[in-house]
Amino acid sequence: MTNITPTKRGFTIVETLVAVTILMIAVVGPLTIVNQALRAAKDANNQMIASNLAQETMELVKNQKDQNTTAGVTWLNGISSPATPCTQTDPKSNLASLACDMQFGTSPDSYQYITCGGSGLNNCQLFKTTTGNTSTSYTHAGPPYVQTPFTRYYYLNPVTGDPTMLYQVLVRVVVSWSSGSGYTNQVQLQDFMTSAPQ
Amino acid sequence: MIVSLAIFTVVAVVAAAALLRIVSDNSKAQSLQSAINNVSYVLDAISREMRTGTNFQCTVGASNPSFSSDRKSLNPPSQSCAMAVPSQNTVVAFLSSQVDPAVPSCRLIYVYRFNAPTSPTSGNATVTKAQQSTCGQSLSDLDYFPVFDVGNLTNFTQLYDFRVSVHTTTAGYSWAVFRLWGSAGERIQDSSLFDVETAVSQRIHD
Repeated sequence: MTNITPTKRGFTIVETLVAVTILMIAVVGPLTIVNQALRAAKDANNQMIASNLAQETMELVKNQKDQNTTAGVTWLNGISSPATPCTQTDPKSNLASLACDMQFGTSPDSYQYITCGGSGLNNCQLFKTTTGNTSTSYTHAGPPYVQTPFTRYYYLNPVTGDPTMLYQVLVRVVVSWSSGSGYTNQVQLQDFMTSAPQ
Repeated sequence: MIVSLAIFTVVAVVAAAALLRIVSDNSKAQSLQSAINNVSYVLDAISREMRTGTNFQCTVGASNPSFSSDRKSLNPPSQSCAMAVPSQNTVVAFLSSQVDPAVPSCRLIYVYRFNAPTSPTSGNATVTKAQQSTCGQSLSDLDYFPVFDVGNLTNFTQLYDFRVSVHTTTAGYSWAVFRLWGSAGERIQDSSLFDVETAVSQRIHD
């Protein structure tokens, strides 16, 4: 007499581990890609803010130049001066030792340039005023204002053929910010500016 | 077999959760990117027009400040205005670079209204615009059309603030400062705050 036992085999540990491994690979790949997309979208948010901050400084520099042109004063007056030169001869350098920025007064009814490079005013770090449920203004004044991840400065590069910046100059505005993953992003806005009306 | 099944179940649940997260995050990323594009586009469009404008007149008021579309009302000196408090609206009018084809010497008036939200906690800030199509055309409330109304956009949770201030130098050249503060994203739990500040300066006309 033969004892017949029906074969009822389940998954073995090896089979399960193989299945789990395949499943993990299938899931982790897309998850990583989407996380990168999300991080890129958040970076895009910061990039938009940074681009607008850079444009703000560029516009104010040009406004100051237009005022000078109209008033008939030195065209870089209020943008750079021998005492506080906002210049940098190497256009590829990111050093901000002589960098400046335009800064509003208590309300943006006036602005003036400040030196903030090197160990200057909070090293060009931007802070935000906190005035309740309203948009806030960006400033280099430090605490008690809230620190933002952004730094902003501009500097002037002399143009070949005009080393003393008599007629034209390259204005470069740099806004940088550090992301959560530790690397630094940067928006650079540059434009040639001439002493003639633009 | 029971152990194998338990391991597989746990992994399957984790995988399903991860897939749901993928869908959610992807939607959030797209929404955020779309909102950013909207903000950039609107700021760029307004800036481009103001850069080539002249004779700026800015008024702040609790309701819509009155503005006469009479061209003489835009005669120099330009009128500055400080950044409004959140409950106030601002109207900025200026002579644009566009001219009436029938009267080439007549530059057309553009008017922007920056409207505060009806409530700080709900409601959205909006921007509307009216522009003359012919020289001397009178502008009424009916001529204003929305330039930026996030209530019609699904990728914004709320736009708390869209304010402007206009300033004019003694030489007569104006600049404006914009501030936007809002929350991008289709749902509150997925939203991301943005706080944008920028400026635009009138260019010297030859």
